[in-house]
Amino acid sequence: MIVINLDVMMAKRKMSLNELSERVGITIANLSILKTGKAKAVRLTTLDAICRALDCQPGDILEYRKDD
Amino acid sequence: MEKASSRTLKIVCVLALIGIVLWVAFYAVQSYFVLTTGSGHGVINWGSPRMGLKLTIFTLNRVTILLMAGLMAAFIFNILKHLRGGAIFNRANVVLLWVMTIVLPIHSFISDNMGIACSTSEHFDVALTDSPFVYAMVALIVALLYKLAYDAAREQELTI
Repeated sequence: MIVINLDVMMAKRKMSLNELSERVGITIANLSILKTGKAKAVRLTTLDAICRALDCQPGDILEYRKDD
Repeated sequence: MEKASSRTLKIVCVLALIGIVLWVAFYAVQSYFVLTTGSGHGVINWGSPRMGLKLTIFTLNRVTILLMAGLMAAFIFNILKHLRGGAIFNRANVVLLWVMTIVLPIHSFISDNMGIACSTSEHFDVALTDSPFVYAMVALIVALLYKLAYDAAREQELTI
């Protein structure tokens, strides 16, 4: 399964959901869907904007974990 | 949703609602004549044998017409309600279409046997034509297509 570590990166960068939402240009509601792992897919453009805002790599946000 | 598409959909919905109202009105007027006209073909022959069964079939026919009209009207109102938000494929309508898949063939079967309600004899021949099966298949295809569209819309909604 794919785990979204958005909250970890946000904590590292000391960035609030509100600020990230403004920088990335997507709604807080959609960021929450992403953060809680409810999203079915992530657009490359969204990933690009998040990586730019948090100054990180896609691998810092997305992580693959084997299902038990 | 584009403004033109939204407007077209709104017009189609209003036309469909008018159609439903006319459908129900037609059967309301027809019911009056079927029940009040004297003995003859195509009307309730009061005093003929097994009136209870005949009136039950007639009543069931009108109930299924009202039920179908209600289901279709609810389906259209659901689309109109969600039109502004763009979510015209919604869960409530998926359920309504599954219910219609069951009600429509039943209505068709009862309609096919309305001749019993209007007969003068005691002997009944139950008619089973292909209509209920055709209606069931068409309703099933529409319900499945709508469900597929709903799932696709939901997936799109959860793509960030």
